[in-house]
Amino acid sequence: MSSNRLEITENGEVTVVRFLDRKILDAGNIQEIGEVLFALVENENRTQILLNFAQVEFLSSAALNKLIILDKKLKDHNGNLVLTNLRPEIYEVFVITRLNKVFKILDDELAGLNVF
Amino acid sequence: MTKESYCLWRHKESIASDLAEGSRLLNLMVEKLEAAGWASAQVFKIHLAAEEAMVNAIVHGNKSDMQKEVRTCFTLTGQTIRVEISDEGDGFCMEDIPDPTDESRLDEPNGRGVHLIKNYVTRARYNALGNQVVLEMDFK
Repeated sequence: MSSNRLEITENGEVTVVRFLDRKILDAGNIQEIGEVLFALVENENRTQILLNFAQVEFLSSAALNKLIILDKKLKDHNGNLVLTNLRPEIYEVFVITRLNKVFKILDDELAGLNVF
Repeated sequence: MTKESYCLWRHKESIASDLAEGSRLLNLMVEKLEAAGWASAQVFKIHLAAEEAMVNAIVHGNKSDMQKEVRTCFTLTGQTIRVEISDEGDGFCMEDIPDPTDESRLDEPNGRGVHLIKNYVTRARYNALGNQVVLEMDFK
């Protein structure tokens, strides 16, 4: 499954997903992003996923919900999810919701790839 | 009247229960805040809080029923942005919303909107029924 909202590449065993939208807000877009990410795990059996947020300037709790579901699906498949390149404002959203305790969050893609 | 309390912008509009309509109004608010010299970090916070409140009104309050309206009123002065959002739903009770940061609920995929609202604005007040919220953030 492809999407013009996500750039998906392979780096060894790790699937690297870069968000292309500056804002992850619109319900339809979030639904589409969720479907693509879930399909990576459920249909393509990719279990090591890195999400790069470098382009993302704004996201809502609806987007966080999709990330939580993705994380659960990966854990069910003994997989790993790593988030990288979060801007300070976006990282603060994770801190306030304490989701920084749920997700592995690294500064950049290189650091993230080293976690797998 | 002090300079800070001058009304710089006021916008009152009722919209259908359509998220795109909600986004249009919030983008207008962001434009006005940026034009008034608000810092990007502050704009981010009120934008996120207002976005969560708008989604709550449209999706949870009005159940995305296009026949139902969401009433909004934005007031920007030299010192504060005030956002009022009301829906036609049955409302909710704050005490019924579990704390999403509770250790046992951290991986629950919902319930963070109200928490973000409370943490991101200077003041957030709900009416008794819970179908109207007033958000205020002070200029820094």
